[in-house]
Amino acid sequence: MVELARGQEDAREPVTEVTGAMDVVFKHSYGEHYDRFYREMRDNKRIVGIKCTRCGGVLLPPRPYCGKCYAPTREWVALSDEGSLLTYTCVHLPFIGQPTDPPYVYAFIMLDGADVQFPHMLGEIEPEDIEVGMRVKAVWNTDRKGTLHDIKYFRPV
Amino acid sequence: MEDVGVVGWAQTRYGRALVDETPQSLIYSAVTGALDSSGLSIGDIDAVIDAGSDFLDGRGISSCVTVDAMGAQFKEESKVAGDGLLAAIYAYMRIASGLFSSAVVVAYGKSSESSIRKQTRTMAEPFYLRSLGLDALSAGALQARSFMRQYGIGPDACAAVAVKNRLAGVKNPHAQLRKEVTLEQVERSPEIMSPIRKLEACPITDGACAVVMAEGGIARSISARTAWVTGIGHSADAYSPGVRDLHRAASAKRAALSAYKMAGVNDPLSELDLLEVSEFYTYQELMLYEALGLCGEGESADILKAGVTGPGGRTPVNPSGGVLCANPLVATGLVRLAEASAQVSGRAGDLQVEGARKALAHAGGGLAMQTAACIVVER
Ligand SMILES: [Zn+2]
Repeated sequence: MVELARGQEDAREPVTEVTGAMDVVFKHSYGEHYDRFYREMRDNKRIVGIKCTRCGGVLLPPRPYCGKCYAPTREWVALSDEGSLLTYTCVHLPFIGQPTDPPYVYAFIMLDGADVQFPHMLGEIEPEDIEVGMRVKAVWNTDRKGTLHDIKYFRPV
Repeated sequence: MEDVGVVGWAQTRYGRALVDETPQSLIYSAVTGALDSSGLSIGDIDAVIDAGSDFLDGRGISSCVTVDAMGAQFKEESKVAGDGLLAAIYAYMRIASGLFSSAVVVAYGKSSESSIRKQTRTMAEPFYLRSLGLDALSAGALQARSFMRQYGIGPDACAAVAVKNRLAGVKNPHAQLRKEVTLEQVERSPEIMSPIRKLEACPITDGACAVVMAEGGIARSISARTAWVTGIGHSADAYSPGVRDLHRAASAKRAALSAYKMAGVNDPLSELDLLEVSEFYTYQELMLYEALGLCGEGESADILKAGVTGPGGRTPVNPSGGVLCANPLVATGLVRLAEASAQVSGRAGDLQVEGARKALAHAGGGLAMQTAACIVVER
């Protein structure tokens, strides 16, 4: 063993960092409820919700239970693809995972027949013309794969 | 301090990959099942403590996502990033303090959704161990050899743990693996990381488990068959496997001592009727015999061979078949509590150890059994 005195280290460059990268791929199971939800969108251009057996609320996305009542859901309900705009934001900032290049508009929409808000995007309208409360309708893609992007965006009615 | 009892429990079905289930659907079925078995409803519950791994989940702060499924809306909810048995200890403390009267404890994991080998590799910090790619299995294998060499434990003794537990699992309706294996099959199964063979390692499992705990008054009013929590303990050893005596499960020993002291257990071998322990690999069950006080140093293979820990033995270990039959990671240790509670309350069905009154549930965590949690339950 050789004792190293302070200041006598033979190394010149400090060792500062190691690059870490996570390359874990996830296959998240949709499960029964998302399966039905996205199949309806893909095959029937239909948005379906599910009813709580206690409060009767029509929930989106469909799930086995109502979180508010902690009761099971049962009845599937077809909703309109039209509704009212509740809130929106115009995205100017670029970030990883965006569905399209900014600027674009995220929106929460109360679909006719639903009791919870549906998250999507707005199109065919300039941000300065958007008004909360305005009526909007889904524009469906022709090439549908069973995802939320089977709807292109919502446009003013 | 308030008396605290485990009054209900449920396990979901287990499988290598439950592709028709989401974490939420598993949680919902475990929690509603546990509530049903307790006779309480969600409105009676004050607190919800959950255990999950954000990394395994692929979701940040995953308890925000799972609140609804747990029945935790507008309740005191908090999450443990570790085994569900630790969540049960948190719930115990909340109720024992008198601030809460009841709690749901739930733990879940879907190991199938990503790569478990990559997942456990991230348990190694990035500056030192990770550069080697060391993961849970390789750390376990290093520990297995250290333990076996220290005490002259032969591979046949480790293999015999798999034979014992897999046979027990045949009777367990929850077990993922319900097929018995012979000593020869274990010893001839491929060596995945020496000295650990394929049939000596736990399976990869999706699933969830929940228990309901309540203070004495409530527990007595809803059931005459409560599993009373009389001792708890948890302990963490040094992070780096390199600084530990790898052949000893020191944290398990500490955790058990705390739980035994609190429960007034002086001689676990004669006072406990059974133990449910977290043996991710066969050798760990042998190490735990020693750490949990069932035998002296180096005597674990002897008591296994003598049938002490087997079915009908003096102190059966893992009458459910243990982790070698199902490993719903994160819920693994909480499952031990569910099984132990079922035993001491006489509700273990085909797995029932006759006359069981007192049991220990153990959970392990970290690389090479770095951490441990223990709970003593009794009738
Ligand atoms: Zn409801």
